[in-house]
Amino acid sequence: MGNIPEIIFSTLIWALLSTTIVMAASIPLAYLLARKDFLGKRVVATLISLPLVLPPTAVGYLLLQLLSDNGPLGASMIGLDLNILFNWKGIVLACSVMSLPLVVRTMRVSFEEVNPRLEVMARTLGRSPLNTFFTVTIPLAARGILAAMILGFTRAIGEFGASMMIAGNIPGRTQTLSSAIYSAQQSGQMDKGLILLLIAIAIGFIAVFFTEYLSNPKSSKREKGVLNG
Amino acid sequence: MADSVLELNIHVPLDSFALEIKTPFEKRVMGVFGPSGSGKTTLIETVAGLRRQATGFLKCGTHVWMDSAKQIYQHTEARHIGFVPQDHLLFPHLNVEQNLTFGVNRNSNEANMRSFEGIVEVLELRPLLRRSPAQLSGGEKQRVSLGRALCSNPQLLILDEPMASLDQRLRHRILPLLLKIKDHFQTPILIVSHSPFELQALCDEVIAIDRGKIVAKGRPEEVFTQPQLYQNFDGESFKNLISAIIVEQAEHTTQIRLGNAKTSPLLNMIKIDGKIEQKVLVGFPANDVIISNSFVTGVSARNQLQAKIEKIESLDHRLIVTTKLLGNPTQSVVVELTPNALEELKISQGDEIFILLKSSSITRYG
Amino acid sequence: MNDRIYRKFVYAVLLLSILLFWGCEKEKEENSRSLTLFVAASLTEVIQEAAAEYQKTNNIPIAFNFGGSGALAQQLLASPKANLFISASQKWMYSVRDKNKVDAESIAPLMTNRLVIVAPIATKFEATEAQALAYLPLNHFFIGDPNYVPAGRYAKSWLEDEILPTGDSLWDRIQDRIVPASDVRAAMTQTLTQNEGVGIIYETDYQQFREEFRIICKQPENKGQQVQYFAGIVESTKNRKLAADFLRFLRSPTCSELFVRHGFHPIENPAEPTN
Repeated sequence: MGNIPEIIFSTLIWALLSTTIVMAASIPLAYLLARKDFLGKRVVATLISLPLVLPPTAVGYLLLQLLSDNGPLGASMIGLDLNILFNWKGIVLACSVMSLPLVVRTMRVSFEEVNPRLEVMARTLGRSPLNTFFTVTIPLAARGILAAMILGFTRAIGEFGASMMIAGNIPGRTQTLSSAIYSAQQSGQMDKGLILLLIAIAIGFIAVFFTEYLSNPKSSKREKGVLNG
Repeated sequence: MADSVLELNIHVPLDSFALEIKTPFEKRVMGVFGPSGSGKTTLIETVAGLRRQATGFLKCGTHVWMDSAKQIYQHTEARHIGFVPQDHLLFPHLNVEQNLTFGVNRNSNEANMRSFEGIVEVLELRPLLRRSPAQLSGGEKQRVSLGRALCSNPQLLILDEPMASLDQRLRHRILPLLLKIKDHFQTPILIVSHSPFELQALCDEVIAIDRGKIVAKGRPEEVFTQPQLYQNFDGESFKNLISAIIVEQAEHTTQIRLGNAKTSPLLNMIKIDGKIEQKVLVGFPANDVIISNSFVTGVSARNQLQAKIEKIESLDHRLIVTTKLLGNPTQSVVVELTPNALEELKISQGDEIFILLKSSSITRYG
Repeated sequence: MNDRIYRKFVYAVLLLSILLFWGCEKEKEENSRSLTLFVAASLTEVIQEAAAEYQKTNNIPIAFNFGGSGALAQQLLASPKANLFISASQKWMYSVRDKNKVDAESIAPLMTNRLVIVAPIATKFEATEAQALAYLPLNHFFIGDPNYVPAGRYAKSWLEDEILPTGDSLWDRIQDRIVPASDVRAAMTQTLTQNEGVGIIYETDYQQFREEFRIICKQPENKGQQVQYFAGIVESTKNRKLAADFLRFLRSPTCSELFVRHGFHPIENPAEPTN
């Protein structure tokens, strides 16, 4: 098994990378789902939610088949070796796929809670739809977007089943905190497993703490009347 | 031929009917009157460019905003409108000043150039600039919303039910403000309301719509005295609104003149604040007057206006009598009468009568 | 209205609790005369068949828990709720024995297996012996994780025994291309995705999926540890006699035949449990 600092560092970096990718994809996706009606909207929403509903190993299996040499995205099919399997790119892909549904769904709710008439108002004042998105929609959905990001990050850190399938658990190359804990536990190395477990709990604790803080910032804790809030 | 302020020839399909409006608006301040569900909201949304199913022709001043025949359609952000919605819609994440300056400054017509300072002055917004919308009262939000629309230098100001969200007291405080805006800024205004009062007070021209079609058009007094539109406004009677000038201030009363000429009729009302020569807007209910064939003495009413009967229309058990004041023939006054009274006084169209009015029946609105 | 829903909820919870308790009661009953087997995953099909055969003459319920031998050992160490443990490796059997969870005297070898190196059936490369693999342009070697998957450990020991002309072992040479999987089946699935890689799996696994793989080479008898399966009676079992009877059945000629049919090899030189 690889050394612990390396495992933690790698896990964090890969989670950060995957979170960045997921955020970039989720913001437009979530906004589209929140505001627009289009043909196949339900299908798209369902597809995005799939990794949430399927067992992680099933998702891993699907991704594996997709990227295998003879699969639809494999070297034989598209003539280009994407080289995603069994290296760090596979980890990032698995983390991204598994955390995407969580992030999109959370963000979609945030966007839906922004009064669309405020966006209309901005447009009557001369702002383009894109400008409105950045000056009105995003600031008003900021808390939810941040919460979604943290959620995605923690999911990426905790990713296990799918990543193991498409990237393996290669010490020094694709071992994450989760798969290291699994290895340690399976092979009876209890002390190492315990250390890793405590680190994982600590990281999770910090992340949840932040999410809680975002939901109930101190500023809203001032005296509130019972009847009129 | 000068461009009309707003020219419409639009068709918008709705659930149970289609909105079809074909009219030019020639006057600067225009009103659209109609009950809820008549298509008023659709109309202003179409003008604002928020109804993509609308087809037809729409022009504001010299700018063509929509021409289906030529495949022209300007998006909302390209139409220089200042929209003031019923519920203010201030941006909660910005403070008042940021809300005011949010609009993209457009419309470089010098005559219409507004300064931020000027608008803040007129709307008395200076003490509010640093506050956030959550800290404002309903009336203050209204003013900020108006200011925001004005600061963006619009070609057309659209007010959606400007007085609907306010209680009685606030309503009577907002009206002077709207009148100030009307006078100070030369921007064309389109007001939509289900209440005749504000349209009477503000508009030069009004169209009444019902189920998507125009049912009346003209000056407010002309439109609202038509029997099918003659309204009880919140249980109150039709109000006569008159512009006047203060001519004398006494201990308990103020005397006003209804018109510019020296021969314009005078009215005495309960004392109001104001300087001599100051313009005011006053009104009295149509059902709060007494009619007489001749000048009357020994009666408590302080005012007797001479008028000539122009039109008599019946509505339910009442008669709506439109008169024109002698001494200011441009000013019409509407009075309610019972058929019995009419018969007894032997009054008919063309006759001259006296309108008796108590000082306390006259209210100042602006 | 809310009151009604609340009441329905309480009834549902009550019903569930009753069912749960009833289920638990049933379990206790079943423990009276039944067998629970913890079995190495690679024996899934063959043990089920053996059990079915046994049940023809013995009408007792048999329950199975299939998994990696390492995982099963962990489970037994934590809470031994089985009658019999069949491990794919001596190491794991001993780890459980040393903690007195398994009756040392009962431990007996059952059959052996062999490792094979396989590749997807459409591939064309060849290697007459394992060492030749060091020189082929292969990207990945898929094996079970040697840390806890017996097949992986066996594979490692085999490759370590293959000494190349240069003096280092095959294992050393290809170490950076090893992809350790959570179990043999995962290793197989992964192997199928790469046209320039091989997997090391049990011969019996290959037999089951021979349409998808081709054998590159087989484990010779003198290289690597012999893949041997051991069975042992769990110390805390309440059905010792029954377990012993079943164990005896597993070592009978009937079962021997069954094992061979599935591709396993009978014990020729049964390795006596060493300390």
